This record gives sequence, structure tokens and C-alpha cells, in this order.
Amino acid sequence: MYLSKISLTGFKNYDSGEFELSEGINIFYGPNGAGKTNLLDAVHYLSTCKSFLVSSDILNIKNGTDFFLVEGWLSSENEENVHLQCAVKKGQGKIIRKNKKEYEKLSDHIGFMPVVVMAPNDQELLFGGSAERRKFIDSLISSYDRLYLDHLIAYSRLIEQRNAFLKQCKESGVFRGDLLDIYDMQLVPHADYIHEARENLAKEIFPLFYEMYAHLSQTDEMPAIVQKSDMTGNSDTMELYINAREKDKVLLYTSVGPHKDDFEFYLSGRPVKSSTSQGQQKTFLSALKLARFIFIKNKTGKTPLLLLDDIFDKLDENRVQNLISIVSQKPFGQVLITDTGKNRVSRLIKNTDRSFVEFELQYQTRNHEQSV
Amino acid sequence: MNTFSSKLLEAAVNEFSALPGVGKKTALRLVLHLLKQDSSKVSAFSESILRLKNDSKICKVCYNLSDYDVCEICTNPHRQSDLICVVEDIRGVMAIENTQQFRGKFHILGGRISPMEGIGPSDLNIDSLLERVQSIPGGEVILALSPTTEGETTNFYLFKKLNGINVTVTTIARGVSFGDELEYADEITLGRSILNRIPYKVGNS
Ligand SMILES: [Zn+2]
Repeated sequence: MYLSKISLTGFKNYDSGEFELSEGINIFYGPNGAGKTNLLDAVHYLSTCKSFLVSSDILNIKNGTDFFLVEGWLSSENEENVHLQCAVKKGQGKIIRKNKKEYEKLSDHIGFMPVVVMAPNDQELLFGGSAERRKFIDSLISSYDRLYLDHLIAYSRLIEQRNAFLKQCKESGVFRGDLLDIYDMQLVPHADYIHEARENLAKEIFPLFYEMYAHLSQTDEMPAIVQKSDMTGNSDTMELYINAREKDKVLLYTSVGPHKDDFEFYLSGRPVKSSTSQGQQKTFLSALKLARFIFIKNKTGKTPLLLLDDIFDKLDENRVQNLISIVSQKPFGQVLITDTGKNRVSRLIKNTDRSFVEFELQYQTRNHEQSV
Repeated sequence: MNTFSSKLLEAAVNEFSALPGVGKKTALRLVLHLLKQDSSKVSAFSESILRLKNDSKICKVCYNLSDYDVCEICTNPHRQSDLICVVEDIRGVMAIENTQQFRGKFHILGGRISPMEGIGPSDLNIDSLLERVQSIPGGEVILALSPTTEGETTNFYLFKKLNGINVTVTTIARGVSFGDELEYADEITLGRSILNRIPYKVGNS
């Protein structure tokens, strides 16, 4: 199944736009502000019902209008064609429809048409807080394990209540150990599930990641991801929370548990964040995204659509060539690439035997520019 | 919407729009509707609200809303006294009563434990529940709080408190998914669950 056509109405800088896409590689080139990234974001909306750039849906509505509509047509050899619509109207929220039928819950659509994005803002994963890295890991696990999200939601709610309880105890001066027991006992099964799922994920995805890094860098640099968790090597989760109580009473929040997990990135023993070049960092993150792609493919059997935004960002030509060689082979399928320069990408694709189509995007409107 | 020709109209609209779920527009519509009615009808309307507030009582035994000191469910001799169903509020009583499958009595907690909303165990009718339960040795307590995180916490807390008292603690086995409130559960499903209740176990509801 691939996206054969996409249409945008009132989306970011687009009054309206329609693109017939190839099953293989699609290249969009043009100056900044022409709407290349916005086009990829529209595809992202069809997959996840949200933007990979801005958190507010309303901000994606073109100035002067009060709604946007993104439509996609999916084609495949043996299945029925599918029509997807994602619409956001000011004051009315968001609707996603499959073959004109509205989903009751947005979450029911997630996973139908998976995408993997590689974009300049991936560096949040490196430089942002630990929450960014947990979000990356959590969304990967949720893509094949529906129970995981339920555990995560229940766990987070319990932590919020436990933290509120700690504050309440401090204010009232009365410490009710009996209620804290209840919270800790309730946390345990969720914490155990989350931790086990993250450990299993690490085991499965790290080898894929190392392989992708080697392909991409063509060096013998050794990448590593180290999972930092209070739960590691701890056999009694209840005890973990109990032992933290005295500290928690002072801090007024829950200081241990999977909500505090982090993942540290290393390259040949050096921390990626502080002691590697921009090119190495970008390679590291790109390899992680490629690993994510293979992982989703392996777990769900579906071939995600790959979105490579600003493909030359911080990568030298050799590595872009390596990247293109990788994604022009199986198991990669449809790929959408953006670049500022004409011919740069197509010249590299010609070194492979993959077919491609090119789209030139013109600078459209002056007053509403969001792509970088 | 901000310019009212009459201060009386404005005052009435403000009162209505202070109700939960009622916006200014709806409030205006309701007030204009009342204005069109006969005086006797409007009197009956306001009278019923005043009497509700002034004359209705909270049952001394189960905390249900009642016309008497002890409610009609608690005084009904055909209902089992040694079977107590614990619910959060009056909506829980109504949801379970609608199934017509329950022949025991109720205990209304008055909420659920939620530190985020400032509600702790001492804000709920828990002590009186424990007292009631002491007086029905060999009886049964059904925990029927909504299957939310806060409902689960409260269930669990009650279970621990009831431990050591000679009663069976059960919960309703509902086909209601996580996060659904008890009052939205359909009658047939809820009726079946109240009949086929299961022993309370940590994490089984
Ligand atoms: Zn009563």
C-alpha cells in the first residue's frame, strides 16, 4: 500500500495543492518557504493525526481561513483503495475519516498508515530532556503493544495522584502511610510491565540500530545506547518505592520509577551530546530513525512511509549517498524527500537503480511561511 | 450577549449559566422559555427547587438523598441488610437501581480518593461504612466504584480497611472498559455484573 495522491486545502502555506506520488522515491525541491516541509507534515497528519513540527493544530490552518483539509489516496495491488481525510476546523476540533467514515477515536486510526520521519528537529532527542527520549521509546512500543499505552496512562495518573498526596501531607502535617501503601502497591504492576517492555525493546532495536549506523557511517565507530533505570537489577519494585519515601516526602514528588528512566547515547565511548561532531550526531539520529523503520516493519508487517526532511541537513554528500542507497532497497518502500537544491538528490539516486519522480515547489505566499 | 434590556433578565441568565454545562446562550433560551409560561408553572418550578434544597435529607444510614431521616431503601424490609453495595454518589445508586437486579442496600461514599482534587479518605463516609459492616457478620460488601484510577485506589483502600472484618468483599465484574463511568454503563451489562459479582482481588476490576 502506498500513498498515490495527496491533496491539501488551507494547510499552512497551501491554498490548495495536489500531488500524484510515485510508489518509489519522491523528491520535492524548491526554495525555503515553498512548502516542502509542510507537505511532509500533511502526510504526517494522515498517519498520526498530528504535526511533527508544531503542537497546536490551529497553527497549521492557513492565515485568513478557518479550516484545513488534508486528503490522501492509498493504492495497493490486492486490497481496496483507501481514501483518508484529516480536517481541522477552528472551534470544532479534529476529524479523521477513512473512506468517508469518521473514526470514533483518533487513536483507532494510529498504526493504519505508519510513517517514520527524519527531520532537523530530531536533535531534540539528543539535546532535549529525558522526556523526549522516553516519548520516542514509548511510541515505538505502543506501535505494536496496545496494552503498553494503557499501563503508561494508568501509571502516570497514579504518579500524579501520589505526588499530589505528598504535597497534601506536607500541607496538613499529617502523613498517612496507609494511603501511600495503596499507591505504591498499585504502581508496582504497571511499573513492572513498562520496565520489562522497555528492556525487551532495547534488546530488539539496539542491534538494528548498530547495523544501520555502520551502513550509514561506513566507519567502525561503535554507537551505544545505555538505558538508565532505577528498576534495572532491582527485583522488588515495591521496595524501591518504599525506600524512596523519605526522600519523596522532602522533594514532594516521586523520585524513582520508570517515569524517571533515561537513555544515554554514546559513540565509541564518548557521550554523543557533548563530544561528537554535528555530522556524527545527525548520523546517530538518522540511524535511530532507520532502526525504528525496520522495527515497525518487523513487528507489524506494514511498510512505513519514510519522510526525509531536508536530507542534506548536517550530513555530507557521502553519508547522504549512503542513506539513499539504504532507503532505495527493500524493506524500504515509498520515500518522500525534501531538499533546497535541484538535482542534488536525483544525481545520487541515479547511482542506484531505483526510480524516482521530482516535484519543483515554487515560493507561494509571502505572509505565511513556516518551513525552514 | 452582554447587553440586557432588563437587570432582572440579566440576573436570571447569570444564575442559570452558573449551572454546570450551561452556557450563556442556553441560559438565555431557558429563561425566555420560563418567561413565556404561566405564573403557576413558574411558581411550581421554583418551589420544587427550594423544597429540594430545604426539605430533602441525607439518609443517616447510607447517605442517599431522601425525604426522611432514613431513606426508603434502608427501611424496606424486603431488602437484604447484610448485602451492602458501595458507590461514589447518588448516580451510582440510580444506575444500579435501574437494573432492577439488586436486592441489597447501599452505602454512598460521597466521592473517591483523589489528592489532586484535595479529597482524602477522611473526606469520605468510610468510618460509618466500617461501623455498618461490623454489624453484619458473614455479610457481603460489593465495591462498585467507577473503574478509573481513583475508583481503583478507593476500592483498594476500602478492601484493606475491610480486611479483618468478617465479611466477603466482592466487586462487580463489568464489561465496561477502563475509564467509563458507572452511570454510562448500559443496564443489561450492569445488571448482569451485579448478579455475577466476583471476589475482590487487587487489580481485578
Ligand atoms: Zn439509606
